[in-house]
Amino acid sequence: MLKYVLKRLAMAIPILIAVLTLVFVIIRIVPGDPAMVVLGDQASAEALAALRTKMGLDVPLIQQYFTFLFGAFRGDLGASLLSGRPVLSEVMTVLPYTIDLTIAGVVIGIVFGVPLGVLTAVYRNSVTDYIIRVFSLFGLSFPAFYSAILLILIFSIQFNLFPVISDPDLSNYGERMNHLVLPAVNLGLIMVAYITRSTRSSMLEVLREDYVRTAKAKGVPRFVVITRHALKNALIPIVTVIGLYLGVLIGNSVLTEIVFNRPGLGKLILDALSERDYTLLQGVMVIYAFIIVIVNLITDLTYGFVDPRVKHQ
Amino acid sequence: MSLFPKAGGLRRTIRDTIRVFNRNKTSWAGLVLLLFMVSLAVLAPWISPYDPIDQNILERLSPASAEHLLGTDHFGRDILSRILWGARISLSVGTISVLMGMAVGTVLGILAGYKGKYWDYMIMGVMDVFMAIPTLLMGLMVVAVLGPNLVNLTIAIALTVAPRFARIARAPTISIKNRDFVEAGRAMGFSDLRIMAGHIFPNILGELIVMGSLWIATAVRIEASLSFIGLGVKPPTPTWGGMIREGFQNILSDPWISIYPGIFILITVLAFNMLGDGLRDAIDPKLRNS
Amino acid sequence: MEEKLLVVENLTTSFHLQNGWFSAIEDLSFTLSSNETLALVGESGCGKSVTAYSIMNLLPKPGSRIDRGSVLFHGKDLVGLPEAEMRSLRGSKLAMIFQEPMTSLNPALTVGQQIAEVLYYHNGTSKKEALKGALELLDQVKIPAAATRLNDYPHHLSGGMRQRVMIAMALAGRPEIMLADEPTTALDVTIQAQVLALLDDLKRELKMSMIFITHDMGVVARVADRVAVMYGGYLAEVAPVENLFANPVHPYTEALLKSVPRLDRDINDLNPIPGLVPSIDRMPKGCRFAERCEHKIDVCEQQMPDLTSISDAGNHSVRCWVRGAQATSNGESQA
Repeated sequence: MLKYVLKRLAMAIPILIAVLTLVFVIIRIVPGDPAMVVLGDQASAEALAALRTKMGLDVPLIQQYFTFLFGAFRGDLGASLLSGRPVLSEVMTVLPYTIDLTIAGVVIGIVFGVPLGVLTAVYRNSVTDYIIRVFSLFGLSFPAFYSAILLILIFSIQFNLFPVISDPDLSNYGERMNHLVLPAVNLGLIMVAYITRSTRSSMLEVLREDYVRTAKAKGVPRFVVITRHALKNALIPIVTVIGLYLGVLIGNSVLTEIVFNRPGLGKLILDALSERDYTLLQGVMVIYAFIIVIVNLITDLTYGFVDPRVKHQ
Repeated sequence: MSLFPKAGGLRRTIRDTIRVFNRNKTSWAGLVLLLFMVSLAVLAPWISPYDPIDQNILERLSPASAEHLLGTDHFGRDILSRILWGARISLSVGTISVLMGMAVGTVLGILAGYKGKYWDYMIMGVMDVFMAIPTLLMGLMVVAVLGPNLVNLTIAIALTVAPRFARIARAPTISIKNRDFVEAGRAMGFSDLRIMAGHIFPNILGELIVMGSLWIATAVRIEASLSFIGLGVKPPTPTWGGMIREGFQNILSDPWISIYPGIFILITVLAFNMLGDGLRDAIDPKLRNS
Repeated sequence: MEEKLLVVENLTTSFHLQNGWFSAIEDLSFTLSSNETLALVGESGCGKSVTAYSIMNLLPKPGSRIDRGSVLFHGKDLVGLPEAEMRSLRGSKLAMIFQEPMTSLNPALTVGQQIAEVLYYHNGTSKKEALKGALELLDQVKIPAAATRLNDYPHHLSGGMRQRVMIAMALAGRPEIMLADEPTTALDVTIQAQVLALLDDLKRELKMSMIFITHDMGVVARVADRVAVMYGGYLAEVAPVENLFANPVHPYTEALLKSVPRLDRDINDLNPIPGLVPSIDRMPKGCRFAERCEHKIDVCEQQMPDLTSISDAGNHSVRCWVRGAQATSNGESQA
């Protein structure tokens, strides 16, 4: 098991470097002078030169790359062009809000998605199955910003149940949760759709397994056959779903934060875009690269813990 | 089984296709919705009641009426006309980006599988890194850096789509690389890649169509999302995401400006998802009898 | 007359294929006495496994159904028994082991958990007691170092060991009837012999009856008291094992016996049966073996013969137009 953990850890580092390199490459393909893109073509030569130095563009590209890479690992992501504050501290201020939102969304997704998936698999081709499948197809077809707008229109404006703008920084716990509900539901509903579908196909496969037949032949109750024998095995691949849909989760959290005007990485991206703050944009992307690699690592390790075949190697 | 068997003429192909569709009603529903959307987009110049970018300040923010079936926006532009024209952008960005990604990805996948060793390692390694970055973030970075326009948007989406198709093409390439007919073809002087492409395409065509349809659904959604963030095609060109963005300013007083285009995004994405999903169930023998 | 533990009468089970319902077993009747081992023999696709699943009521639903007939266990009909009642019999009075020990055990549960489960749900033993019971069962099926095996997962065990675990699971409910569906087919020859010996010992020791499904005539000779040969969903011939081997009557039985390699016979005498069992949606009208039969006459392709008794003791029956009549007229006597 320890060997498995170490092997995964060792594999994560080159992947992280590769993803960071890709971020660097994309951010540097700006046609022309990035400083001029930021300041506009009316800017004076001195101002441009000063900005280039500030952005670290006045050294050879290869040096820029290594500065960027080592900076990323040391936690030095440069200073925001707009606020002058270190990008890392800008990110760290809002990161917990994004994590809150994402975890809440995943929890909603699992709590509703897994049972619905089991239901559709056990009663496959029934009316229940059909209805749930149509709803899950809708769920994964909804652009997250549109579902967020609809939720605001219905629950905030029509019924006045939740705030339009989500403020995650309230001292009162109940209030803070109240502000989290709609964004989390928005993210969660989409995850429910994905997780229902994965659970269904995973369960359908497992229900055909010989050991499920064995369990039936042993005369254990149907509920036990479905949960202890089938679901326990079906959940092993479902664990990887979180890693698989991380991209969806990240994209949707960005959109959700923007619509609810809720501080977080998504809002930070929007600020960076509107102010042409490339250092900030690059910094947020670096943080995402770390998040992606770490979450994938955790998923891999969890898989190892859940699957006895890996655990006992 | 592959969607279109090699043998048999066009008539047989059509009959087989219909049979595949008949196995799953979802794919029919998706196809009908899709054809509806495509005809709206194609016919936009003739069926739009107004010019989509003509401003009419006197009639701004008017609700749905006989004159403006879906009302007007804050510039007094006819929302229905803008939606019809917007369909062209959504459908073309979605389709072209996925076709581009599919072409590049399939070629790279065959190359990786065929050359093996370092080539395989390099190509698939790069593909994996591209796949690690969520589609929306990739689109966001590329468009933010290169500037928001149709071409950049399309390239950005194609970049994240290509790796998925590389994977699809690579596996069967490896499995048929060493079979006899490749040897035989080589003896007859055909180039290896040509022989392989000829044998691989019939094998993966079904999967390409299914994944293509599902990825177009994603691409349409991403295009709308980027336009909503403000990284789409520049105004005043009508895009669905851009219309929602503009309507969002007045969401409290005039919600319909945002609601109507969203319905069209939803239907389009749903249509591609239903088509891909239904076809997959029809083609995948593992799920067929379930 | 000894007590008949299980009486199967006119059992007919159908499966749903693309173009309708087709019977996989038809008009099947046989009995099983206490302490008896009945071998169900035939090529794959002849309906022997379907018979076992029909008895256990484990047919895949939807997609299959019992059309008619009855399965009387201690006089009580299992066909149409409410699921709750059937479940209390499954794994306790009626146990089953399967062909694939590799895939028939749950990879996510320990060996101990899987055996203990039977005791827990059928006998109401506490979980702790059930684990103790599982240990005893592992000893009983002669698994070495049973105590350490209890917490192992199936992937730690070899094929033979897994099949022993399957047997331990089946024994846990103290079954009166054990249905064994090709339990040794997937195993190596040496392991096969060990598992067969184990089953034989356990059967005697625990006074079980057994329905042993196999296609291997060598295994039949080793374990069976009586043999039922199946072809195309029908019983072709039923006889005590010595009679069947000494005096096979049905051409199909004859062919099956000839296809078994034996040390005392020249390899050139080995005759594989030409052709294949027709699939259930392409069954011929008359005798289902007719098209592969060397002895067929006109009536064979017109009408299915009845299963007729050909011995005075009434324990040897056959379903054949040609041989059935011959055997009866010859007044074949019982050994």
